[in-house]
Amino acid sequence: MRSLAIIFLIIIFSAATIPCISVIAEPVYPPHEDPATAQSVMDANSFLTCYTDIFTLMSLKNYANATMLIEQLKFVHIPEDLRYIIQRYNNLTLELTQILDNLEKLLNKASTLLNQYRLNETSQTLSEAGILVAKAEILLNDIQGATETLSARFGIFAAPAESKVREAYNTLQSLLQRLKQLIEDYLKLLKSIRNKTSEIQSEELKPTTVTLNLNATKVFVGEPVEASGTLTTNGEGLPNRTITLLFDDNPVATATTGLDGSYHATVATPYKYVHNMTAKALYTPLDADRGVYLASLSPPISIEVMFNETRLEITAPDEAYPGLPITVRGNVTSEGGTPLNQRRVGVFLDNNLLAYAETNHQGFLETEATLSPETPTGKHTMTIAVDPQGIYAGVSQEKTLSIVKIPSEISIHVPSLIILPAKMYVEGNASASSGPLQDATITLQLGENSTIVMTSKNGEFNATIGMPLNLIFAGFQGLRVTVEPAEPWHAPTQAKASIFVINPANLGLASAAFISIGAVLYTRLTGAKRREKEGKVLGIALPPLEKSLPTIFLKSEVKFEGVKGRILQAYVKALKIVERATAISITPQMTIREFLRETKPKLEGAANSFTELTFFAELTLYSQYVPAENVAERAEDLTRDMEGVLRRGTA
Amino acid sequence: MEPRKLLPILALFIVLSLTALVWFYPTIGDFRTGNPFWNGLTTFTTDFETSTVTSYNGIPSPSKETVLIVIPYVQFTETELNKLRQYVSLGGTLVVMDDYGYGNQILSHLGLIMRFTDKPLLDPLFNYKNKWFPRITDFTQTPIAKNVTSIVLNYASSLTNTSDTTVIAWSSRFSFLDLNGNSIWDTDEPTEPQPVAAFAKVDQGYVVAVSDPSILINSMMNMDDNLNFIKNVMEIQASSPTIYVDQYHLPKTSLDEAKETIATVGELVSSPLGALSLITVILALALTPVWRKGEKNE
Repeated sequence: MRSLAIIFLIIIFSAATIPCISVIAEPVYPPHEDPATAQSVMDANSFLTCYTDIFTLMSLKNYANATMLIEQLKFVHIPEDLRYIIQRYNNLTLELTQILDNLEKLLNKASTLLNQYRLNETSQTLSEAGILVAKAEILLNDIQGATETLSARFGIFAAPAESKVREAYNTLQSLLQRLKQLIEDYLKLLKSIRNKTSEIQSEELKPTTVTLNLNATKVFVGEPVEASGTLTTNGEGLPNRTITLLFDDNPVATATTGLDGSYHATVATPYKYVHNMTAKALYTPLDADRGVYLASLSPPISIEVMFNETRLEITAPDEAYPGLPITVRGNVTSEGGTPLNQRRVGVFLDNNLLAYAETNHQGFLETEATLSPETPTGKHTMTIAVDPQGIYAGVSQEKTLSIVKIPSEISIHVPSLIILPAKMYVEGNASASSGPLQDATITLQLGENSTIVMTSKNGEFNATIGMPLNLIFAGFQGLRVTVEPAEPWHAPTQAKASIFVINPANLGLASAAFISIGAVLYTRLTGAKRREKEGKVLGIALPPLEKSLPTIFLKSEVKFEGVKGRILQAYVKALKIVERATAISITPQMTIREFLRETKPKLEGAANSFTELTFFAELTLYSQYVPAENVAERAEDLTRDMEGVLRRGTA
Repeated sequence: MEPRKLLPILALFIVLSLTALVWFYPTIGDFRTGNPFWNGLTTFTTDFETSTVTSYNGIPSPSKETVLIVIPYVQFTETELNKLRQYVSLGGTLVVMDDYGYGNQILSHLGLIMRFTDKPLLDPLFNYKNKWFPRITDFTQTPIAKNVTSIVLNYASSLTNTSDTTVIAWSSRFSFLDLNGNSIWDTDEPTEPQPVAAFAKVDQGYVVAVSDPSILINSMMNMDDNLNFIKNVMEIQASSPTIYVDQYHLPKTSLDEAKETIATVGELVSSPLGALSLITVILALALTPVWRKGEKNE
């Protein structure tokens, strides 16, 4: 029991200490924290630093990058109680950035227009800019107020003056002042342009008028248009002046006025495949005309641009294989079905060029494009695009292309039974719908053993796997054969087979164990039966196990030890004397008290002695009481007395 | 019934009950595929129908169109590293997701100069809840960034020496590497954007390094675009690949160890030799009374 307790203690101790060993092997930092229970914290310093970056960019008029940074702020974690104010702060800043950006553009535009003596347009632009300046001033005031509120919520004013957060706050304040200065600069610029405009207006420059006429307002793309008109000032033509022709506000040609102020030019309609364009003529005073004439812009003329649509019909496979070519066929025609030849067609896979082709006289195209062997399987987008050409617009079509691999097949021939140790011979062949798989890598794995072979030209292979003796007793083992084709367009595959493996060594050991157990049990059981039989033959009924224990004990050749032994020995001796004297034998079912009751009438002078001796025997057998030395002596005396009395024949 | 006979039965009942409890109670270990709690991978394994690798004999072969995810919190043996090398060389996609573990052992063995910094990457501004959850918004235009605007990491690290790889994602310019582990930025700690995911082609296969394995856990999978990011990483070579998750190089809890012991005992008993031994013991126990009877008769 003690040793069992020690074993339990060792097990408990091991169980308690083994996890500690595991913990020691774990990383220094915790691998993660439950995000649901993580504490929500906002770092004021980082937030203010981010805003100093934004305001710096704004003050440097880098509005695009400032806008980008503000938009990134949506990824900043904001605690619930600060969410509203910070989001408003972000929106106000973004609005201010956009206003300043537009203001910058408007003032530049106004400056350019003024430089071209386009006073009306300048004034109109300056009005728009003036509104923006006012808006910017209001927004900046709002942002300054919001900065104070936000800083108070962050507890910045309670932070030490030399702390990083106070430093960031101070920087932010100085940047806000710089922004204020920027808006003032814009206002100054606005006023300056306005003043210059007023000055030019006060100079009373001569107004000019330019007209524009087109010989056609419905033209094909690329087709030339005859443009003409006059440049006049107070009804008189202005000779040798440059007129710029604009299509959709982009200059496309220039013309010089003649002696009467008229001009003429042939302009090719730009190859823009849109249905409408606007044409204008522009005169801007140059050189000696500056400070003399005002600029003029003709009323716009709308041009309907015509072009032919291109039709594309393609035939391409829905599936393709990595490393193998695909064939794309198509017909390129006009809307009316006229074949379009020499049209360049590009084939793209996920926007990467695969091939270019050109249509023949029948407008037919056929091209073969080989996919990269590394093209991942799955759905891809194939685009076939016809370039625009002349009066024909371009066209493109998209198609979903599934990249798949050709399934491989494998057949194997293996023995159904192996007796260990053995070498197993496996043969088979690998193929696909396209034919045998040549040079494919075949991996055979049976338990811990594996081998690799290559397939022959006709896809056949054979291999031998050594199977040494192991712990396997007997049973099915799985053989796994995998095929790795050499070509990227073939899919790998695998096959499994069950082989019954017998290990005679283990089988022999197990049989020996079973036979030994059986033999021992047989010997024991047959021995017991034999003795029982012998007992019956001798007329001795062997007692039942439990009931007659004391009787068996008393009758057997047991070695009696100690005081108890002496008492029982004395009793057994007396029992035999009594049996002899009374001719009554104790039976297995009989207790010693029953035996006393049976024999007592025949014992006469020895009855008391035997009664006392029986009492001592009962006490010794059934009680926890440890008799004293004198009890043993008394029992031995009683036996001697009985022997004397009964030997004298009184019984 | 006599206490002498009742006690063994009671003890056997308790042992069997405890064994059943240990076996059927889900594991609570970090990154365990059977762990349904916040730090487990059940969502990932269910969504991506993954298989588990519990020994390196189970590394998929052939490796093409397969992905092996390794969270290396236990050191690798030379044999294991060779097997990984072979796996990648034959066309497999190896995704090493590491923050403070043994990922560099793998990268080094594969001949890459890219390394995990093994230091915490903190972002006090662009984050989820606090600086330990950096939010990544800067992605290189690769297929892995498709439909990904932002991802959230959890106690992440970063990568360094990425010149031989294609960086997939960078941390924000407000992030910093906490080199001394005091959780605040010190002047000597790098503050520029840090690479957190990158890939490289090694022979026929790919190696993807992600400096935080925690984006796979149940509580992080559906945060921002983590799911799309993971999906794109898995499909770097092929759509719908077969995914294997290495569970062999993870730290073990006492429960995991107990489960492992039960599994080992189960395997042992289910083997022919083990079954034979068990039968022998049961036979011996059952026949003990007969044995004793024989002895008494003698």
